[in-house]
Amino acid sequence: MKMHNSDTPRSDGLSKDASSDPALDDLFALARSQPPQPDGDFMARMLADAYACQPAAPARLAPAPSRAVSRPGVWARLAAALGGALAVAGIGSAAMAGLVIGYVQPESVVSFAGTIGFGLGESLDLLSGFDGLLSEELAP
Amino acid sequence: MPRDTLAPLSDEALLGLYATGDREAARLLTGRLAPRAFAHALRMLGDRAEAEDVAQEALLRLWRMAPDWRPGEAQVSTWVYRVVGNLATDRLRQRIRRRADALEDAAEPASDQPAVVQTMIEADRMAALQAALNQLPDRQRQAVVLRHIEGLANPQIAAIMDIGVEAVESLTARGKRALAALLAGRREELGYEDAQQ
Repeated sequence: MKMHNSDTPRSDGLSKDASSDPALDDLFALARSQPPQPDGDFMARMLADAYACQPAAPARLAPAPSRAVSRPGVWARLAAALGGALAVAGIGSAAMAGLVIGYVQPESVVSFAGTIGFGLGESLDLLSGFDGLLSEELAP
Repeated sequence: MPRDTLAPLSDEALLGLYATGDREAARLLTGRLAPRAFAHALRMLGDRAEAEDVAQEALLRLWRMAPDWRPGEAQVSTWVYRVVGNLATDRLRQRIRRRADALEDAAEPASDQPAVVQTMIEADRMAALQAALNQLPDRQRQAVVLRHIEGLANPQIAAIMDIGVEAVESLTARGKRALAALLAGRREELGYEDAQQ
């Protein structure tokens, strides 16, 4: 329902016909231009409330510590090429065993070699004509 | 998030960020809404301490329901005005119950009635206006404040007060008439003698 104010304006400027009341409009304009200002304490309380009620932000994932990407060293690459550290350890053990056996010539090994037909006193001539060829070439 | 990035955002967008824990959004939204809530509550109640309580309660309710806010359903400021208005009206009704001389009797005083503002302590125009506003019925006061002081459009006022636009027009017109009558006896003090015709 729309209101129609048909009252005649009052002589004091604050007429009863409020639809065209310059004095009242002036008061409204004054009120609009001077809104009540909350004080600092109040605003601080309001902000504290806002923070207190605020849902927690989702936890951010900590950035992974940056690791310097370094190329593997020569020995590491060699070990990898041979099949890893275990393989290198096996090869090293075998080499050491070979050196020990070759140097010490343990009796048990010599006798065992003789038993199976590899006596150390015998030699196997795979290139029987090679010595003669050498002697002919070297003869003056 | 940096202030420059958030400042242009709407209240609703800020409320969404608030619900995700963005503290800058909380700060910006408080800076926007708290003064308006306080000003509206003060216009409604005429008492600074009570206005602060009402504004604080209204925003507390907003913060608590922020995670469940449904975008597009209502403007945040409309929602705040509505809650402030309801809380202020509740307090006014409590006052009326406490006082024997119910203020609602002063709804539309006769033009020849001595202006209620004669009892005012302050003599300036703002105080006169506030004192006159205090004499209006709750709904008229709310409509007049929202329309003529807060400067809101009638459809938004209708949404805030949960009434139709025509009812808003009716309330504001009656409120202005009552204000004019209440202030009539103070024309000299308020400096409106020049408007005499």
